[in-house]
Amino acid sequence: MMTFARKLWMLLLAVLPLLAGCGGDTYPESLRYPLRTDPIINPLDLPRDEKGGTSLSVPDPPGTFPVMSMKQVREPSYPLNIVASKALDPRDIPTGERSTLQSKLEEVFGTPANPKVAVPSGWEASEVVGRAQTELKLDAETLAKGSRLYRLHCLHCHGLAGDGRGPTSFWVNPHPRDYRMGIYKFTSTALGGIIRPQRADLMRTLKTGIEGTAMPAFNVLPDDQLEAMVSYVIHLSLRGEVELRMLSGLNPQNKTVNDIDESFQTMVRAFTTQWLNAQGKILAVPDYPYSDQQLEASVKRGEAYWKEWQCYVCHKDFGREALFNYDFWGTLARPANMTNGYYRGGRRPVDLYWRVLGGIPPAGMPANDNRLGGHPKVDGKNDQIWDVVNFLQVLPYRSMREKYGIQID
Amino acid sequence: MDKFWPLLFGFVILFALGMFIIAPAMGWWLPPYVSSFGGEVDNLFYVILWVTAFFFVLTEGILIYNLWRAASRPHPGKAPFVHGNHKLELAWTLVPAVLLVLLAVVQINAWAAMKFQSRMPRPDGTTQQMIVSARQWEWRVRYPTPSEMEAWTKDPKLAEAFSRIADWPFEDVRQYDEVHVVNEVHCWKGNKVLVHLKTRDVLHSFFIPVVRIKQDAVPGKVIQVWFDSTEANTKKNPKTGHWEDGYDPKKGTWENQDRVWDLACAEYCGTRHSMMKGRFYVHETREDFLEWLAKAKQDQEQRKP
Repeated sequence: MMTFARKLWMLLLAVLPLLAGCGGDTYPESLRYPLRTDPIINPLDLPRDEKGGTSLSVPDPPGTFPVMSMKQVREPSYPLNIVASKALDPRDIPTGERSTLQSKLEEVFGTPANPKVAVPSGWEASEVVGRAQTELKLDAETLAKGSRLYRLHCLHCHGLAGDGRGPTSFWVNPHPRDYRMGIYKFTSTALGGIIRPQRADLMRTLKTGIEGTAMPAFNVLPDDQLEAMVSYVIHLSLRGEVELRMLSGLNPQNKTVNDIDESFQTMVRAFTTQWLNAQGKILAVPDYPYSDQQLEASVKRGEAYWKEWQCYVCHKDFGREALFNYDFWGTLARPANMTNGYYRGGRRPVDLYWRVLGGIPPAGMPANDNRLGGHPKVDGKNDQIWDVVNFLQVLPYRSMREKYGIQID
Repeated sequence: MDKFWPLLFGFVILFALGMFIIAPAMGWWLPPYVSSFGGEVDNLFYVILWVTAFFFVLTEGILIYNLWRAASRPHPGKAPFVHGNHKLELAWTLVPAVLLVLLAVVQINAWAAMKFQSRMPRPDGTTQQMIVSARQWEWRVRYPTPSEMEAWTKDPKLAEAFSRIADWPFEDVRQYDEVHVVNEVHCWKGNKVLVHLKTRDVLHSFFIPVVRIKQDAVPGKVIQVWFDSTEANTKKNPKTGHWEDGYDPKKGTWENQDRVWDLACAEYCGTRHSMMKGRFYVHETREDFLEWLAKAKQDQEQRKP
């Protein structure tokens, strides 16, 4: 016979799960950004064959992620073992220096629940950081909102610190973006030096997604939420890059940082300035010079440039037989298949123009701005890049190829 | 204190019933339907609901009553052996069986009208067509261009050719000047829509609650789904220049949350299945829809930064 007391306990146990509640929608207050532990590899050290690519025709297997740990890289059979001697292990840095760095990062960039981009007023960087809070919308309120939204929508792929190594990331190919290098693939920023994305580029990625990858479109969310998410991504990016450069410079193999305080302040100032200066500097797109009647001739010229500029070397067979390359993040990506009609950086002609003209530096797609010793020929009558764009737009569609006599088989 | 169990059961049952009773007042109920077949669907839903509610109360009531009675009596010792009761068993088999057969018969027409190929709107010049490609975790929609839709009104055979997407060679399925939109299904009031549903990876399900339509998207197949809407919720907002939903024709404002209609995924497809939402925009007239479509096409062909 069950006593009343026992029945009451059973009842309580049954009801207990209900008390778990939905929790808050913020990160726990005590959670901190962990210091990076994955190896730091210079992109230029990554293996490339004589043509700049690899001989890999398949990506890494599902459930794996390249460049997770030094142990992984040191495995003799591991494809990236070749860079093992040059890769920098953050854990080689003395514990004291690492904890100093982490507390400095926390001082400026906060924690996941309370993110910020703020420096003490005495710092040299205080002026640019103040500007960044307005111009790049990196104020604490926007970042807090962005943090909650990031946790809900982005965390599972892009990871807590924006390392692209969230739980889902192992299973998707291409792997999610690692923000910590501060560079992005699909930018509309003018060429020259380190290319930072425009806020508008990140918004575009959020709104339209990246077709052909696991990045979905978030256009159902209102604009103010998307802006907050972009702000938070920039915050993770800034933090990640400062962390990366500091860890790189503190490493015994590569010791270039002797005064942590000074280097840290310099880096915060430098990277924030670069981000700020990039805003508004759009890669110029000349006016589209062709009428509908001139389209055919333009497409034919574009086809000729495809051969002349040797696009087929990387985009083998119009991209249908392209091989995988290591991109700057150490993940595998391959030159786009131009026959399937999916354009990761956006399908608008202007997006294609930016890709063809500006290239995609971190992925190895060269810029085509020096094909004619400076600028593509633009004289109001012809524009070589628009010709290539027209050709690319026609390429996936059989009816259009037949119309213009383009053979791809 | 063996009365504890019938009391507990009784409380839980009453609580569950109570939730149903207060649900409509709390807004936890079906949204009003806008499609032409929504009424039939809802009627069937209520018939089944009342039938099952009746039997629920009946069976649970008998259970709790007997629990209480047993708890109130002293322990009877050895349990009596019951040889069964043929009449009772016959009754409680036949009555539900007949009811179920009745329900099955009563719903045939509703199902046929929504799902049978033979009852789908013909892909002619007047039926709107679009291709919805579900992928993790978004809805990629392709609309024919305004000029293509114009051509269909003049030559319905072209519209019919478009509808045979499943028969097209793979590389002809995409057309050069289709309008690609993500997470937005647009149509206009009072007109039938034929959706060609595909999926790029795993199972998804095309579900618009206010229309009462649900259709699984199966990898490798192109499945036709049809629906219509008797009410509009979208109009161009002069302040923003965008077509926005939530439009209430009576008030002339865009803030009516009941008129923001979701497109949801109804077949588990991975981590973000519950967030795989789109929006359902119903324009007031065909002209308004075509205006939106032309603008979407223009945005897609943007050549200036």
